[in-house]
Amino acid sequence: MIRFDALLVTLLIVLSAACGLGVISAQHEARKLRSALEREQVRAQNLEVEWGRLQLEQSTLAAPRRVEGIARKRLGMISPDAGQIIVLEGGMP
Amino acid sequence: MSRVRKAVTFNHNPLLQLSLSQWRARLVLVVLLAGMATLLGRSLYLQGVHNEFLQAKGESRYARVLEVPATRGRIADRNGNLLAVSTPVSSIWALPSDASRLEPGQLRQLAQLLEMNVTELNNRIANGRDFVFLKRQVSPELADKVAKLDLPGIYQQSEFRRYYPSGEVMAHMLGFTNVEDRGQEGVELAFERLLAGQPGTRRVIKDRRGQVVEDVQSIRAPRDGEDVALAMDARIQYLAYSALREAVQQHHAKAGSVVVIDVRTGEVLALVNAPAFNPNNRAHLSGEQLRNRVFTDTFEPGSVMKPFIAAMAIESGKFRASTVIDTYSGSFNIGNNTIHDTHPYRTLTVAEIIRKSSNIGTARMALAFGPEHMWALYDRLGFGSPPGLGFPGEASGNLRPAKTWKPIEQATMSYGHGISVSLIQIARAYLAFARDGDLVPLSLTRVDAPPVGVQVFSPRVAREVRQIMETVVSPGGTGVRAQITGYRVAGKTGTANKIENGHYVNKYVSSFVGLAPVSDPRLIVAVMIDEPSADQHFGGTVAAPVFAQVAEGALRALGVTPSVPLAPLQLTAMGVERGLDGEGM
Repeated sequence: MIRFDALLVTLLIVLSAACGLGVISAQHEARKLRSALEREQVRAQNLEVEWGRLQLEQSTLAAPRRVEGIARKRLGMISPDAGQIIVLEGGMP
Repeated sequence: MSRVRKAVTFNHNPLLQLSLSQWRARLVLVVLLAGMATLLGRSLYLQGVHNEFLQAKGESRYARVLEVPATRGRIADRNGNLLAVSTPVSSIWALPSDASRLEPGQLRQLAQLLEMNVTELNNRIANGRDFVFLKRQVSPELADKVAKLDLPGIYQQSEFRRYYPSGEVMAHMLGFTNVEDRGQEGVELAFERLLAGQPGTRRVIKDRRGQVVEDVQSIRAPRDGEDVALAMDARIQYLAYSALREAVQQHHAKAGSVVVIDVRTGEVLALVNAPAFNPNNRAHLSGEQLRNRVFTDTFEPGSVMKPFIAAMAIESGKFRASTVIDTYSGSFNIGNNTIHDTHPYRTLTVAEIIRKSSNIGTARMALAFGPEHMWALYDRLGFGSPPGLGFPGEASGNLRPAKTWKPIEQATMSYGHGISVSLIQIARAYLAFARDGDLVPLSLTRVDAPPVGVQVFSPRVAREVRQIMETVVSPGGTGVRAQITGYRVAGKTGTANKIENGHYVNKYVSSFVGLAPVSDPRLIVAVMIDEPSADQHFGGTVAAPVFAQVAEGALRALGVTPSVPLAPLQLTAMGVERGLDGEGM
C-alpha cells in the first residue's frame, strides 16, 4: 500500500516537473517566434518604405517635363505639324 | 528549626507567590494574532483586491508602450501616377543638460554631419531648454551616421516628410503639409481627414537587450491614411502648366491660370497657376506664389459672359440667332451713361454680336429682360456662390441682388463688368453649353457614376450658342488663334479693364473660355492671364493661343478622334482679329 502511494507521488512529481519544463520551453519558443515575427514586421515596414521611395523615384523619372526634355534633346524628337499627322479610319480607340 | 525551615522555604517565596493575572498572557496572544491578521489582510489586499498599483510597478520594469506610426495617404492622379508620397525621415534632437558634456571633437563631428557650424550648434545646445531640435527631417542614412557616433544627450525621432515628385507643376493643386505632416493648402488640406493617418500604440514586453518578446496588447491599432485618387490627369496638367508659363513669360504678365474640365463628368483634369512654387523647397515663398488664383482670385470676366446673355435671349423666344439688333454705330446712351463698342457697327445679328463681341448689342439684349430674370440666370450658373469643391479659400465672387441694379449696371453686367467671378466658376458655367444645357457640379476626385445636374438652358439653345461660339474662332471672329488642328472648337474671348481704387485703369485681364470638340464636347479649357504688358492685351491674342495649345494636347492625350481633316490651319485673318476684340468701357 505504502509502495503504491510512493509510486503515485513520484509519478506526479515527475509529471509536474515535465509539465513545468514544457511550459518553459513553450514560452521560450513563443518568445523566439515573437521576436522573429517582430523582425519580419520591421523588415516588411522597411520594404514598404523602400517601395514608397522607389515609387517616388519612378514618378520623378517619369515626370512629363523630364520625358519631354529627353525626347527633344537627346532623341531629337519634335511634335508633328498638322500636315504630318495621318489618322487611320477605325484605328483610334 | 522547622519554623526557620518553614520561613526560608523557596517554594513559598512571596514574590513568586504573586501570580500574574491571566489577561496579560492573553493580551500578548491577541496582539500577536492581530498583528499577524493585519499582515495577512494587507497581503491579501495587495495580492487580491488592490493589485493594480504593484502590478503596474512590476510591469514598468519590463513592459513598454510603443507608438506605432501611421503613414499619410498618398495622392495619385487618375492614371495612378504618384503626386505626393510621405517617406520616413529622422529629426535629430538634444537634451542640453547631457549634450553640454560633449567634447569639442565630438561636437565638430556632429556639426559636420548635420552641415551646421559649430557655434550655431553650441548656441542651440546652450539655450537652456530641456529639449531642442538640432535639425529636422534629415535622411535616414544621415540619421544612421549620427546614431553611430553614439553621443550622449543626442537623440532622434522618426517623422515623415512629404515629397512631391512633380514639383511646381502640381504645386497649387496639391498644396503641401507642414513639418508635422498635416495639410496646409490645396488638396492636402481639403482631404486632410482622409489622408491623415492615426498613429496607434501597443504594449509589449521587452527583454534585457531591448527586443520585443511578447505583445501584451494593442491599445490602439494604427490607421494609415487613405490614398486619394484625383480626377486630375498629370499629362494634361503638365501641358497646361508649360503652356501657361510660356504665355506669362512671353507677355510679361503678372500671373495667369488655366482650368481644364472633363465635360462628361465635371472632373477637374488640370488646374494650374503661374507664378508657382516648388513644394519640396518652400524656404522663400511669397503670397503671390502661394495663391491658388483659380479659386481665390475673382476678376471682372468681361466678354466671356456674353454667350450667357445670348443664350438667355434665345431661350426666351424673344430673339433668334438671326435677329437683327440696332447697335447704334458704336455708342449707346443709358440714362446719363454711354457705353461703347471699339468697332462701331450699325446693326448686328445676335450671332454676330457674340462673334464681334459687341458690348452694345449684348446690353440691348439684356435690357429686354428684368434685372431679376438676369440675376436668376447668373445665380443658376453659380456666380456669387462658392463652387463648393471643398478647396481652402474658395471665393464666391460678387453678384449683387437684383433690386440694387440700375439699368446701366445691368447693361455692364451683361458684358461682364460690375460683377466678379473666379476662373473655376466661369469654367463650370460653360459646362451648361458643353452639356446641352445641363450644369453639373465639379469634382476634384474621380467620378464614376454620371453626375446629376440642373438644366439651365434647353439642349437646342445650348447647341445653338455653341455654334455661335464656333464662329468666334473662325476667320472674322475675335478668337481665331484658338483654332486647333483636327478638332472643331468653340469659345469666347474676354478682355476686361481692371479696377484699382474704384477706377478702371489701363491694366487688363485677358481670358478665353472654350470647349472642344464642338460636335460632342469633351473638354472645357478656361484661360486667364492677369496684366499682360508686352503691348498685347486682348484675350484673342494672349489667352486664345494658350487655349489652343492646351486643348490640342489634351484631346490627343485623351484619345479623342479628330473630327476634321488634319490640314494646316488657315489663320489668314490674324491681323484683323486684334482690332475686332471690341471691349472696354
